[in-house]
Amino acid sequence: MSWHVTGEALSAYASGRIADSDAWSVEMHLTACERCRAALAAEAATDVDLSTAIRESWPGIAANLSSQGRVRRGSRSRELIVLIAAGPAARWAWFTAAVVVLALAAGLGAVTPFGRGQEIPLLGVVAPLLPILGVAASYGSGLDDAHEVIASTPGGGIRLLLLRSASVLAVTLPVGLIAGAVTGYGSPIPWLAASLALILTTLALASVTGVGRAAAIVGAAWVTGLAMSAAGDVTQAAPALLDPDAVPVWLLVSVAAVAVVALRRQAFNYTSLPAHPRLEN
Amino acid sequence: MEGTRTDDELLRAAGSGDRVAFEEYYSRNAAWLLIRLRRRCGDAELAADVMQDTFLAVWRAAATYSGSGQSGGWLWSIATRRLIDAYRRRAARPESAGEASEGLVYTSSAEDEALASSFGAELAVALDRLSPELRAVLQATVLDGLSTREAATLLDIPEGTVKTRVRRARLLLKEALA
Amino acid sequence: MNASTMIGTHVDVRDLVVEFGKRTALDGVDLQLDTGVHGLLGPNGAGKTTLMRVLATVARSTSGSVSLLDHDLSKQRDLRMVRRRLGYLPQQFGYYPRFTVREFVEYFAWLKEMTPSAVPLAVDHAIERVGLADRADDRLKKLSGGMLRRAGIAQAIVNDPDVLLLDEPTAGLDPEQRVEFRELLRTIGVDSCVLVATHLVEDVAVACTHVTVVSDGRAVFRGTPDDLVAAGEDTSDGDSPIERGYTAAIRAARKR
Repeated sequence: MSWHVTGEALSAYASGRIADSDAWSVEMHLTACERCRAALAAEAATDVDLSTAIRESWPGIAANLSSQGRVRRGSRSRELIVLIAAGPAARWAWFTAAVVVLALAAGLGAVTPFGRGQEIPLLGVVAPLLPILGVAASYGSGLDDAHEVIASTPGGGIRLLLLRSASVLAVTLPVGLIAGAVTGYGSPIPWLAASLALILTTLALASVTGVGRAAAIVGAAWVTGLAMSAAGDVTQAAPALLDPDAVPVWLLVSVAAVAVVALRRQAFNYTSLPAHPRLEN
Repeated sequence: MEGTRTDDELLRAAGSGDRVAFEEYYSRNAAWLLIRLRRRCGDAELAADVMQDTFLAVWRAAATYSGSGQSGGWLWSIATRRLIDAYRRRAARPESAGEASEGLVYTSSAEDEALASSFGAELAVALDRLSPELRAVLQATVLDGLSTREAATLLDIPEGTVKTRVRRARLLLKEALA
Repeated sequence: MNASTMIGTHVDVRDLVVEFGKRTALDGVDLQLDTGVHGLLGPNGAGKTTLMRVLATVARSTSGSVSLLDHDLSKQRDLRMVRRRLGYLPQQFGYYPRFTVREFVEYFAWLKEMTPSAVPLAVDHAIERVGLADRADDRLKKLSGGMLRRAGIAQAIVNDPDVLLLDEPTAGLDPEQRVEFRELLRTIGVDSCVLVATHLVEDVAVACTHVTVVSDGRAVFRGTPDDLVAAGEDTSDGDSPIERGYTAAIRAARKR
């Protein structure tokens, strides 16, 4: 910094005998200039009133310097962590459950008969279900205890829902892929496409029914659909819903669901439930 | 300048619990903060209280300071929040209703000796020609970076008045500099 | 300069009707509130919570107009602006037991879309204002009922809201905490609009500058606590003057 406050101006400022415009100029400079702040401190030390006030204020501060606690800097990445971590699904318990379920599905997968006369890898059944359950658990207003307050915030609507959905997919998909690779169960693409379509359909339906109910409906439809397709056609190697031929259909469903979510995004601005059955008066 | 550490370094050290560093930070920054607070509230005792609150908050939050060379603005922004709090507390006490406006008229006058200034001479003259009320709102909203609502609380005037005064002050400055 | 300046009325409700199915929870409420601490009194089931929920923007009205901070709540574009400047503590507020007080308050600071650099200081400030500074890093499940309530208040005020809505905020507070809490309310009410729904008449008598009494979905009394006291001069039901006023206001409304 090339310009600094003159000694004359500093002492005028310290004593209060200074025009406002000059005081402003001094203050603007002090805010940015460490050297002049220190110079002003030296100047103030010669002023009985100021130096007394500064000296006498310190013990009151020093006596109250408790431990500082776990404070964190505010940043966009910290924001993401907090918003995602608050979801019940992000808790370790849920994560562990997801891993255990997938591991079981993968372990039992290839040999478990499902329906009549046909083998469906359990992984294919379970893997697309997990993201839906995860989204429901992490956002469903019946399960998120603080939903009432969240609904009153600007960031609590569709933004939070999408954020949580993405975080759930980020956890469940890799786990599913690994499980699939370990068991050597065919191409993961059919069930990945099914996963995507199911989660998006859940979100689209959620704009009408709320997340919890939407997840239940879509989950039940998935299981029923699989059972029916397995029972119906015993000649196929895989049930129609998990057949590679079904992939374009799943993608179409996904696109349609995205359109519905975009059109109905305002529905996420409000809670779908009353505050509390007891309290609704 | 004593010591070799910068304010940023002192703050970071304080953020990890270094009380010695914090005391040095205090000794370097208490003066300008106290003087500026006194100029804002015209009440030496209140200014000292607000300064104490401010440094306690700085101690707790030092670890969150992430700027480089912006510690002055950071410290002042904490201080203004505490100052507004103090005004709110004062205004909330029924027995002191109306007291809040006292001491808020900025006291200096344009006749004081002119000093070397980082502003242009024309701007300085124009600023000093503004009425104290107009200068006060400009100071609060421009120099101190307060919101209209905060300025209104500090100056004990309605928010609408803050807005109209800011508009008027800007217009007058523009005319004077034209 | 802050672009979002408050000049008009903080809360402006006209002929608000809210129906749940066939049941009418609010039946033509009018309410205009500015800065200050406003009490919302009424028996259980009178519609207080519904009114708070509509003002908190979580429930929608059936008819009538509601505007907050000069923004019409029926306009989706304005909703986001309003919500950034809102604080809300419902009667039953859910919390995450494993979160610390600091994390809990921070969570809502982010949800209210505060500037990242402002968040840590705002969180610290809010926790300090409710007197939980020494418990900031305790998990919520370790707190007493009164402390939890104060953590809830901290999240509501973390964004220094222009409109603060508190539904039965003194539940679970002990007498000393209650006194401190009323002091805090008065401080906040200096430059923002605080609406406190309560069934405790004494809260209103001590902390509020204005009172609205709600009964059977209608606002049946509006005035200062002194006005309410005056309304009860002719009755003898109730232990305190303001309680008598409250009883009288409710009775007068029911006779109509």
